[in-house]
Amino acid sequence: MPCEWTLSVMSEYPDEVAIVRSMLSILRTNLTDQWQLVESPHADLLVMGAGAESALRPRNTQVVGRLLSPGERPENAVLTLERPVRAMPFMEFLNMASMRLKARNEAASLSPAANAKCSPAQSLGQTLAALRKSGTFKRPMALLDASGERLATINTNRGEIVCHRQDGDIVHLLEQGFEQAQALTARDWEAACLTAKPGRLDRICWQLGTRLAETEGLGSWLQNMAGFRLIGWPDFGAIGNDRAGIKLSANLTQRAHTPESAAVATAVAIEQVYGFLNASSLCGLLVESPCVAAQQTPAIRRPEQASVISRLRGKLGL
Amino acid sequence: MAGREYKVIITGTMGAGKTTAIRAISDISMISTEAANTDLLASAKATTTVALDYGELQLDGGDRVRIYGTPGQQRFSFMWEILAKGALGLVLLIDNSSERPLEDLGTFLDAFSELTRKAAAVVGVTHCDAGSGPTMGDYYEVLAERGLALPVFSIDGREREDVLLLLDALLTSIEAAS
Amino acid sequence: MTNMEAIAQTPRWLLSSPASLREHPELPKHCRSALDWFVSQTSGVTAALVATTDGFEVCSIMHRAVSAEKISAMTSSILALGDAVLGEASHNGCENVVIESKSGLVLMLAVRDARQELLLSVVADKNAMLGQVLWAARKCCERICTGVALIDG
Repeated sequence: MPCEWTLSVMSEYPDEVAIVRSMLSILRTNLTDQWQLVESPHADLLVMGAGAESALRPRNTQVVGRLLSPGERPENAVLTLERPVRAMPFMEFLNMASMRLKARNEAASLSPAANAKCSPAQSLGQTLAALRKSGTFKRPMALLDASGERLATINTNRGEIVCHRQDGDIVHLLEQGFEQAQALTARDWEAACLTAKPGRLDRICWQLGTRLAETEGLGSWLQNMAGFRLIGWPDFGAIGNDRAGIKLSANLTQRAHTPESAAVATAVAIEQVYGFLNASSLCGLLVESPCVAAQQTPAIRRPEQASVISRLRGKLGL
Repeated sequence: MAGREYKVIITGTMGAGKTTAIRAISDISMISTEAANTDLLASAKATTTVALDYGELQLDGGDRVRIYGTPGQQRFSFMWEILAKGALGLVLLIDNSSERPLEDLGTFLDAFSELTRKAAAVVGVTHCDAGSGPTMGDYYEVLAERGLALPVFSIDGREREDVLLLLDALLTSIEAAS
Repeated sequence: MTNMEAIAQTPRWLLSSPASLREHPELPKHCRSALDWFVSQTSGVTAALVATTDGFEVCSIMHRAVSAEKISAMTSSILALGDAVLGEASHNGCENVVIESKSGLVLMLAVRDARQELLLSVVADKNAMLGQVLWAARKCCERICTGVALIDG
């Protein structure tokens, strides 16, 4: 479904704004999303010429595009449009801006809804999701066990966890349940790192998520979702090579799936799919995304390419 | 009858481990084009690739996958374009301990945008345990800014298993896109 | 103390040459004089430059709008590829590569300085004769080598 965005043009040439306006109406059917030209500089997409750049301070939430006069070279600008503004380049420019705005607006991971009866894995997921969403997510947090002793300190900004208990597998300990403590300071994190070497947080999340599927199947916070999509791949370099995970990642980053359709598309057992969904949700990589109901026209099959890929796999033992 | 040929490109920052990666998987002994490195500010390495590294994987039926490693520095960017033409996929290696890994990632993603936009690319981040440097979250952000969700794995470029992991993800991505 | 005596007493490590020729401040000067001689000798030359084997420009004379930066990098690539090809053919050391078109030519040579760190690249138009350019370019390389020897001490 197309999104609606606002666009503002800050140009030293008044005519340029009129050109953009008329071009927007011409291009309407060719654009991925719908665009509305507004006067306020706080539009979703702010397009500026060199003169305007020094006067304006775009917000973090805005996407910025630079208009380049002839001979002007872009410096550090990622999204640029050459003057004079022409239809085709402007269309590509806007479609690129759409992609960036969507990526920026991506909802934080599916957060396990606050639920009195949620499992510890779910609870950790809530904690992590809340940390990632909030402005204070850069702050570390302590996880305490039932007796108030510190189990672990987590740092979502760095994606790391320090385990304070030597007497058991941290994943097992976390599964027993925990309380969250208040957010800590950077110095607390440094102190924690002196007691034990920090490990990767996603590794722990991965184990928690997959183990949850063994006992409960799809995490309760993920049920009743219309479909899922990944906004990034899990780091299998750190988590460990996982053939099924790689297949699921490739499919789920490219289109939305229900657990059942993902299982069919990848020939992976449904229990493993549940584990994957739980785990990637805990890692902050999973978002809800409705599946396209009707099957779209399949992409042109390239049997030759499919063949070389499977033979290359065989050759490398993959 | 001569077999068919396919191409995989390995690119990335100087010192990230492109040459090592190709050596780890090539059937033939690798052809390299190295010169003495005079840019000691960029890297302490004694030599640097100035044209390309070349390895091969021979498949049955006489078909072949050619593996090209590109030079890492911007002044050789004309080689990136030449080598990337008609490539099946791209492996992008970034040295996490180098000066500006995130900027470099952005540079390569933009230079090879045709392949990255088709999801025919993977990113391998090497030297992650060197202590400081960006986190994996930072790398995700650079990708998200471009609307990309490519695989990003922290790896050891000297380990054959890790290179194979990257290739597996690459091939799986290409298959899922078609 | 006279100047001569001062030098005699300065420790060797203080006088020793830099890690790479490229860092030596006198290098461009020596190369420039060699290039000046070459350009004056040879008809049809539109550009001549000296580069390091890893593709950095040392100095250049450009009569046409040619990117010295890019040609330097490309020269390094081409000569390195030349080495690789010769290696496959069981020969060593690429001496030069000639790239000819109907409207002119580009000649790239390994300077063969003592440190094997420099390359020479020449762009010439239709009026140039390959034989003459090659001869003069080789002489130019000799001059560069002499200059480098002076620096290296």
